[in-house]
This record gives sequence, C-alpha cells and structure tokens, in this order.
Amino acid sequence: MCVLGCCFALFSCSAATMAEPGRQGGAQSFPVSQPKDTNDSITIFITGNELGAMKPCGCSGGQLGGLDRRKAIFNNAGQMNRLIIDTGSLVETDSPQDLIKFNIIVQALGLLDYDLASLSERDSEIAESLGMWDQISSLVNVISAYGSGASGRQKSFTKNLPFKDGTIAVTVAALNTEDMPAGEISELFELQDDYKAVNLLIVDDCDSDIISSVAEMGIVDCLICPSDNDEPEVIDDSQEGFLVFSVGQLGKYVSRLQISEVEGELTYDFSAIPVTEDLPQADSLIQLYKSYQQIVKEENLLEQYPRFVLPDGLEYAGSESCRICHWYECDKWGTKAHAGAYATLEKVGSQYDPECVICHVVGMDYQSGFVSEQETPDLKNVGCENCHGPGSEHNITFGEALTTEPKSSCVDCHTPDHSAEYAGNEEVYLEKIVHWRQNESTDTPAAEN
Amino acid sequence: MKRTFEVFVVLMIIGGLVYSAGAQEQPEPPKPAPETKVGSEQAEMPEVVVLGPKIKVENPTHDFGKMGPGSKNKCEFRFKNVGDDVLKISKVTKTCGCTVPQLSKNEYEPGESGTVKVTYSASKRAGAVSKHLYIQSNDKSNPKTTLTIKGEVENKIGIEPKNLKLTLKDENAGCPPITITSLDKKPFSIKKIQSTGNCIVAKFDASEEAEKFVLEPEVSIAKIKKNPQGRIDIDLTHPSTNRVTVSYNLLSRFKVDPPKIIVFNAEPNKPTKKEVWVLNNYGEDFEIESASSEKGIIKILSQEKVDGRYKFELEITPPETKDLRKIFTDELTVRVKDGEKLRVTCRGFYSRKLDTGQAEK
Repeated sequence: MCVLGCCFALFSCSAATMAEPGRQGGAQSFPVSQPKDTNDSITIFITGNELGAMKPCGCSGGQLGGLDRRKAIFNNAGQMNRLIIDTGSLVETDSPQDLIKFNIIVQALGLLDYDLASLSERDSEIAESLGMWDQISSLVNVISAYGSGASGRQKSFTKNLPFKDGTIAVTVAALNTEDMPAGEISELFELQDDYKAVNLLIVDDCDSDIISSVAEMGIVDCLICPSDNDEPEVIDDSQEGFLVFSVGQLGKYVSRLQISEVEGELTYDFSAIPVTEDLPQADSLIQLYKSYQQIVKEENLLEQYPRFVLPDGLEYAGSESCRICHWYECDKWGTKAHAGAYATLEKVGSQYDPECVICHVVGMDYQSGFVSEQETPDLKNVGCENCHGPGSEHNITFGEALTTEPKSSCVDCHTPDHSAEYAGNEEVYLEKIVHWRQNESTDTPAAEN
Repeated sequence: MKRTFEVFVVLMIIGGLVYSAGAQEQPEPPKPAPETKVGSEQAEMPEVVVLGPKIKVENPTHDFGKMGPGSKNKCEFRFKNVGDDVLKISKVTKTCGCTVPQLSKNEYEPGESGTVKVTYSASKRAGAVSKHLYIQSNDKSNPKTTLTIKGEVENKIGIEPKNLKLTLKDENAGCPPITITSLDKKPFSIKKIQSTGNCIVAKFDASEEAEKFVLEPEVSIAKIKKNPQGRIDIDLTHPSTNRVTVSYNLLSRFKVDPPKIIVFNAEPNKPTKKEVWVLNNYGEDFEIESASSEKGIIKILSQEKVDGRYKFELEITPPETKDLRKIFTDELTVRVKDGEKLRVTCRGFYSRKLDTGQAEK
C-alpha cells in the first residue's frame, strides 16, 4: 500500500478505468510517439497468457497480436519511468512445439526489455525440465509461486522508479492460492517506510473469496487475475485503493497501468491497448520468429505430428486422382483460393509449422494424410478430400462406394481467430469456392458448416 | 424638503450604482431550455438545438449465463433512433467471433427501431467470457456504440483422467479406466472413439444411453511404441458437448536430462559448459555405443557411467556469425548399444549486447 513518509495515504482508484471498449477495436490504432522521460507518472505495461501465440497467422485481416509489435507500444513510455511485466502462461502444453515456443518467447521477453516474468505452474515445470531457470534469469528477472524453494526462486520483485521529486517502489509478487492463503500475503511485500510504494499481486485463481481476503489485508493495490478472455478487463474497482483486473490472453492486447499523483493521492488509469497490424514491427523480433520457423523445420515437427488411423482401411488419394471423372469440378477448383492454400504458407515461411499447415493441406490428422511437400505432394492445398472425405475406396470402385467420414467442415479452419470475417459471411465465402455445376446440389458443402 | 430631495437623489444614485455593481456580479439568470418545435412555430424560436441522428440501445449488455463449450447462443440487441435526423448505420464490427447477419436496412428514421441479431459460438475452453460488438453510425456523439455479450462457458461433461501416463513395464501399459460423466445429468451415448495410431481402443455400445460411462481401454504395445505421445478423441451425442479428448504419454525407455540444450546470451567462440545425463526410465542396465555432434558446435569433453546413468560433459562453442540475430543449432546423437538412437538438440541465441544493429531502438 502507498506509504508517504510514515503516514499512510489513500490510493485513489477513481481513474481506474478500462479504455472505452469502443476504442479497442481493430480499427483503433495506437499512437506511436517518442518516449517521454518525465517523472510526473509511471507506466506499468502488463502482458501474459500468451499460450504460445507469438504472432497472428495472417490468414485474415484485422488480427490482433504479435510479439514483434509490442515494442512500439512499450516505447511510448520513457524507459526510466516504466515497468514491463509478463504474468506468465507462456505456452499451453508441453508438446514439442510448445517447448520450442517457450524458448522463443523467453528470448523475446529479453529482446523486449521486460523487467519481470512471473512464471506459471506449467512455465515453471517446463523451465525445470529444460534446466533453464538460470538461463531465463539471465534475460529477465523471474518470479514464480511454484516449484521448490531449493533453487532460490523469488516470489516477489521490486523496482524503484523516479517519481516526482522522489521514488516510487513497485513490488510485484506471485501467489499460488493453494499453497498460501491469501490472508498471508504480507510476507510477499516489504513495507516501505520512506517512500511511495505500489504493490501488485499476481494470482492463479480469482474467486470472490480471494478478492475480498486480499482486499481486506490492505497491502495490495492491484490484483492481477487469470483470464479466459482475449481482452483485458477491470474485474473490480469498487473499493477505493484496490483495483482488480485481468490482462487478457493470446497477446492481443497490452494492459497499461498509468500511475500519477493528483492532490497528493496516487491514481491509476488502466487501459487495454490493442496490438494492431498498423504498429511497426521490431526487426529483432521479426528475426526471432524466423528462427522459430527454422527450428520447427529442423525438428521436423510435421513428421512427428500425431495421427489417427482412417476407418475401414481408407486412404487419402489426392485431388488429382479425382480429375479423371470429376474434371469439371477439379478444373474449377484449380482456379479457387483453396487450390493455392499451401503457397500462401510458403510465402511467409510457415510451411513446416504443423499449427499452420493443418489447414492448408489434406488429411494431416490422419495416417496417409499430408506429411511433407516431398513425401505427399498430391496432398498439398485444401483439396477434394478435405470436404468430401478420403477417396481410396471411391476411386477403386469407380464411384460405386461413396466417400465417407472424416469430412472437414468449414469452421474447422475458418475460426474466429484465423478467419475473423467468416462468421456472419458464410454465404459470401461459399460463393468464393463454387466449383460444382450450379444446377447440381450433390454433396455440396453447407455454408453453416 | 430640498435637503430631502437631495438625499433621495443621492440614495437613488448610490442605489443605482449598487444595483448596477450587483447586477454585474450576479450570474446571469438561467435561460429557459430551448425547445425544438415543429411547424410554423419553429421559425419564431430564437435558438434551435439540432440533435441529429442519435442511437439508443435498449440493453447494451447481454448475459448468456452458463454456456456449453462450443455451443451456439443467440441474442438480440434492440436499438432506436432517438434523434431528429436519419440514423445511418455503416456497419457492425465485432471482436467476438459472432455471427451478425446483415441488417435488413441501414437507415432509420427518427423514432424508428431496429435489431442486431447475434449468434455467438462459445469457446471450447471453460471460463468467463466477455466480448464486444460495435455499431458504427453517423451519431456524432456516439459513432461507435458498444454492445457486450458475456457468459460463462461451463463443461457439461467431465472426464477422468484427462491425461494418461503409460509405461512399458505394466500390464496394458498401466492404462486406467476412463470415466465420462454428464455433469448436467443429460444422458448421452458414445458415437466413436479414435486414438493416435489406433494405439488405444475401447469397447462401447453406440446404442446405449447413460449419464456415465466407464471405458476399459486396451493398449497395443507395438503400436504405442511407434506413437509414444498422442490423444484419444471420444465423440458423444451430448447436446452441448460433442467431443472429449484424453491425451496420453508413454514413458520412454530413456530419458535425456535436460532433453534440449538451450544457450541464451551466447558469444561467438566463447565456450559454455553443459552437463547432460542419460538414464533408463525402467531401471535397466544399458551401455552407450557412441556419441557425436552433427556440426561440431557441441564438443564432448567427457563421458562416464555414474550409478547406472551416463553423464556427458559438453562444451558448446557458438560459431562466428555475421548476423547475431540468428540462432545457431547443433545436435548431439547418442547411440545406445541395442540400437536406440537419442537425439539432443542444441539451440543458441546470441547475446543482444553484441548486436549493434538494433534498428528498432
């Protein structure tokens, strides 16, 4: 809590507001200006819950996010007066691909001049299993509420920032609510006797009991909760001197907490800044993403991708095998965007990334489906068998056996994250792939699928 | 009398001055609020406030309450043009992944109402949801009206365990039963079960409907050795949850600790020492036949067997590079005597302190 001299002064959360939601849309651009090193306020940038999202896939316009665009936002605050924190959950799983992402995101935090990373339980386990604790600490200060204390892991971190004519001490602590009751958080924060202090607490659970018991302690100024939402949000600002918020997920927004002084009281201004496409990309982060693509290629993740077995001995046959009978449809399909889906990946160097490739080829979820351009060239692109099902039996029986499941539906790939405009415009999208004779309706995919 | 008159005049002057001064200090009395009138009377009004088009949403927040994962949820937002000019809606934008059909019309006369219909496909992950849509219009005071949809995605199906930790040592790879429970008590059937590489199968009766199923999975050891990591997808007929997934991991014979060598803050030609251990997860004795580096960046300083485990002391020397933003990679291959090959990848990131080309700074 804010301590001024030996007297407690009240914090005012009166200005703690979520940026007007209407200002958070993709169209809103964040002004990129020269950093200011004035001591009238301090800025705390908070990100977290990346869950492996390093960059939007770029499959549709208006996507938010990208580690490479964060720097443009951070640079709007002077280096002396800012603190940059990541609250952790860098990746979602411990899959081989997520382990690669973990290394890359950690390196990115270093390149982006983060002051602090608070590692989640999974992050800690990964750091432990990769023997990376010390190495991460060489890039960025690390705290975590998880793991044994034997490795000397810190649970709190303090940085003094110049403020007005003095200093403000910002302490960030991490709490595992199962490990330590919220009522015992005082040991995470050192009371500052001779200058102002702001205490932030990152928690793994945020039910109303936890919020109220943290509030009652009167030590914490800002409680940072986990989030299942993409957008950051103010969860509770009803109590004076106590702000509860979440930082969103998937790196689509950067949360900004601006602290200034009005009539002797500290005030917060909380806002969510969208990481929009028009923000400039940092060169070092672009290069880092290329390194990620290189590693993904070298580790041959495509071949290691876990695959199901098609039912009844079915196999994928490739779109060219359909042409012999369905020449009209194949020719028409060849003029549509689906027929060039793989090339769009090659343009951006993502043709070895399973997370991208799966929506640009045939049958990657199954044995006999796409493995690589060299091994399975006929299964590149979004082909006949994506929607109509594997064709081996249909071909062998000259069409007598109808194609069967598994058949992909449009929304398997046209998700809100990857194809933002699809929902609500299904008919328009369907029109783009018409490759059947318009007066025939057999086996035509339904737009709502 | 004359004196009385003089006094009266003086008092009048003073009074006048006082009134005048007082009048200057007094705030102007509030003017009556201007009214907007129609017809011939309007011309007589000295001031007319033009409202212009003005959008008013009846209830800008809709709470769906509890939603099933992946469920489709519908709601409507009613709005009215409470202004005095035609409200033109240019578009409805969204950050929610909602379906918003085109509005039947884009122009609304004063007093006219309209509706934005929203279909929201809930996330597949449980948790609170709050999303926004924006009505963009020619209402100058509110050109981007925010609509909010919120709710909570709640799992309607429980599955235990969510992860299977399998071993080669135990019968049936130590695979436990899998229990699937309807948390909302709605009965369901199992439609299909498929696993990575068909490693794990389980018998079920697709015609049976119940609130709870306990599956007894059967593991093919030969197949799972080829697919040591994967998942089981179980398709259901439950009205709000059509699929649940269980992941599995087979404990490999050998463990390399750490499984990858990562070097941050590397400097060209400045060697770093690392230790790597190889051990048998099943306590079997083993011998290492050879160990070698692909590119020579990793140098094996020593190799010794300690308490049934192998310890490698390695020296990693980052190569010279023209571009310090690029990474360096190498791979250590360890061959076990029975033919198993273990690969340990090494990745290094050069120190940013050396990188003078930080163009973005």
